[in-house]
Amino acid sequence: MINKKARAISAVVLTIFSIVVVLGVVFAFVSLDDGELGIRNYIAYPNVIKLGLDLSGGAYAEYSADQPEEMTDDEFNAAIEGTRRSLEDLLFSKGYTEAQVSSYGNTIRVEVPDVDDPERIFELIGRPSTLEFKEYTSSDTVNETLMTGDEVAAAGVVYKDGQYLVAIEFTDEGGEQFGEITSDLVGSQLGIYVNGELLTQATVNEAITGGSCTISGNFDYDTAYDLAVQIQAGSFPLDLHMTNSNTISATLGDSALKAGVIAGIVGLALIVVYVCIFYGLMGVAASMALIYYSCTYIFFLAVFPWVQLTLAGIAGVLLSIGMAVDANVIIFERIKEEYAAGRNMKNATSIGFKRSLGAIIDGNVTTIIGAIVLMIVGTSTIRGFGVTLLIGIVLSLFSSLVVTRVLLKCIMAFHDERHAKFYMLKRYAVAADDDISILVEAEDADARQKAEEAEAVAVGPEILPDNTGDDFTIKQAPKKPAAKPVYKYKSSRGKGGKRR
Amino acid sequence: MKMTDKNIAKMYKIWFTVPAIIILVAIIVFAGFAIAGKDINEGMNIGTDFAGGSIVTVVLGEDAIGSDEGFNDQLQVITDVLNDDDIAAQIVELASSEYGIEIGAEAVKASVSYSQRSDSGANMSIIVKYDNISSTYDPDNALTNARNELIEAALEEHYGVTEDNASMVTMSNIGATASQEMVKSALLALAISLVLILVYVVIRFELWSGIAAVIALCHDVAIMLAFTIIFRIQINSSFIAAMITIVAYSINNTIVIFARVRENAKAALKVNPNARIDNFALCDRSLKQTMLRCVNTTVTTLFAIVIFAILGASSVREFALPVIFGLFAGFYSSVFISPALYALMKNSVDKRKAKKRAAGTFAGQRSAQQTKD
Repeated sequence: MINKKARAISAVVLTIFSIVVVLGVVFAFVSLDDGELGIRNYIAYPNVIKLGLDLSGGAYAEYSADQPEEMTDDEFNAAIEGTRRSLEDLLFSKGYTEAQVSSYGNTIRVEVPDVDDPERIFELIGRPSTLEFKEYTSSDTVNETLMTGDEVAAAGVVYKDGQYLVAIEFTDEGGEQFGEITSDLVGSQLGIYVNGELLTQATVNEAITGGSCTISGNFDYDTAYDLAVQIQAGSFPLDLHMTNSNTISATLGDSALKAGVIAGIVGLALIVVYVCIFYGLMGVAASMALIYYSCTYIFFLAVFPWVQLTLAGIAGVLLSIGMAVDANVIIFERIKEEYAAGRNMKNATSIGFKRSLGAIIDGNVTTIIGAIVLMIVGTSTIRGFGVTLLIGIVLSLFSSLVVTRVLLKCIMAFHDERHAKFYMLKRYAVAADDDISILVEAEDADARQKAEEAEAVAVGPEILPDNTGDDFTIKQAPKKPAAKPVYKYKSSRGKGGKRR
Repeated sequence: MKMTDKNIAKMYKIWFTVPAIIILVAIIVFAGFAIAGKDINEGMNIGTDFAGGSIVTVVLGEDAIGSDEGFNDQLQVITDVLNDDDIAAQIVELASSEYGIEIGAEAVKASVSYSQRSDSGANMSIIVKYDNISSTYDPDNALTNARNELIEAALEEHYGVTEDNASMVTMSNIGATASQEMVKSALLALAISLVLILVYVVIRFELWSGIAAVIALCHDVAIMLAFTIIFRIQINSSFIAAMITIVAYSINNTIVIFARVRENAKAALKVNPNARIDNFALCDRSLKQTMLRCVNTTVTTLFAIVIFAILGASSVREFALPVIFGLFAGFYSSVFISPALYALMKNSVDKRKAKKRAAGTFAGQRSAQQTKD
């Protein structure tokens, strides 16, 4: 029964997997200083996860905006809200999903987590300033303003033909306006002014009507980035003056994070004990996969840019770990049932995986739908949460469907039918899949007749518990557990039919 | 185990009554607080996340240290000032004399929504966020500002703030950080997910499973909200996230049961295509087959979250509690509500079909087709 070659391969796979998982766990807790083991300053990967305001604190800056005379109160409020939103989008695009931008009267407060120096905020959102496009004739003449930054939708850095360029994208209206300006200015120079000072000037070669443009200059990445940030900052509908900035400390701080880590580890340990008690060696395979899952999940949280862990995020991770074993529980329950119904261990296993696949995929796809909607529709916090959720589900699917299966197969290579008890597999009476006595209410005598005929045809003696798993197997539960259920089912079939 | 003999799905009257009672209690509590506070917003404990509020920052100087040390003592001092009866009385007086508004002393007192500290010793600064006076009484924040000035003065007096020592008390209003927009987008996201989940379940299962699953999810949200209202837990952006988490995880349980229902029905009809399915029996059986797994999954998730709640500070507990309620609600709705709902709906549809069939001529052929879907 036991194949020597399969055993050897299994041993290798299990060993390699164990080593990988152990390394994953070790590197989650150990940080290395410069030079140790010849490695340059390695930080344990969970410590790299960016934390939200509530856990790590951050920095805040407050800006106030003056109401321009030509604006009505309503317009001004709308402009504040517009500014608030563009700041929020800007921070999100830089990966600060948990940044909070709030407005109160004419004050806008920007809170950025995971930043210990308020100066960083200015690096992120720029020092808000005015942006103007004017014709450039000479360094001492200032011409009239042709266009302002209000119409800039976004600015960023692009790399083209070996140099860095600043790309500006206009709003629809801005695109038209810019097209008109540039067609008037072909051959002369267009100057970009920030806070009234000339930032750069460029010769207009042709009318630019595409709704976007690039500025070239002798930029390296940093100078191009700075310019893009400045232009973007100048595109806010209002002039903002910074009034106040400082650091903010975490509201929850270390205690919540520690509680989360301990809860995660204890929860994980309890789940491991739980599945091992219920499912024996199958549980061992699931536990290994679960530890692998936890390590990879945390690793992905650390490397994905849109993840900023908050209190809600920690709870989400804890739930994910609890749920990750769920698919395995479904599968193992199924394997137990299939084995109880008379299949041998290996068939029960492969059919168990196959038959639970539908439920697992359906359940997870619905959750994935939810996560994607959160990512698309939600605002900052909600979006970040969607990302966390999505990573969790995809990894857990992989872990429970692929990793556990491979591991289980490897472990099973060392055993045969005699060892079924190590997998908590028992023969017992199961309600058969087609226990029609419960399911079917015959409508009349005719239908019952037909039902019995159909049953008689379907349950011909040639149908035995199948080995392929493709066919539907007919079984009827005997009233008492049977020693050899396969044959008992057959013989008890007549009785079962009459039970109705 | 008497339970195993009974048809769980058929006991739907009990299962539907329990959440109805919980929601009723929540409505009563909500109405009670809303009437007592003379403001609809008082019905729930809405956090400064949504409502906005004030922040007071106290920077301790050398002089302040020594008398009462430690963050908790300092926090107590500030909280006492926030709840000071004299200040409240002055504001009540001001409200009636200046603005002609009658307001209770309790509605004027500030409740702290969160506190934080940075540094320690003489450099320690304490930041306390607390509620503003409800906008029903105080539309332009005049009362809140008056109150904050009194609070600031009282704190400055306590800490002996003068020009030449390092102590400092600053006061500022904050807007709602979790804006209306955030709630709107969260609710929109929830609604869109529900519709998409409905579509998916209808495609993969059938219409009635989809409807039952979505009703179960609405139940989970309603129960979580009901518990937060009953226990006066603060509703803030974390709560919104918790709600979405529960919906995302609860659907899983429901789907697993419906997958079993689908499978059992298919198996039975394969044997006897002409028969009609007793949907309650079908659901009951599918339920019992998947019950152990539903319990297991709920227990494993509860493990982690309960430990989190036990170990965490009060704010962690305040967040974890709705999640725990949600886990129970999710389990309850998946096991007791959605299968029963499905059976109820399916049975009435089947009956109508049977009636039609009795009227029709090709009874046998059509029944075979209809029972298949």
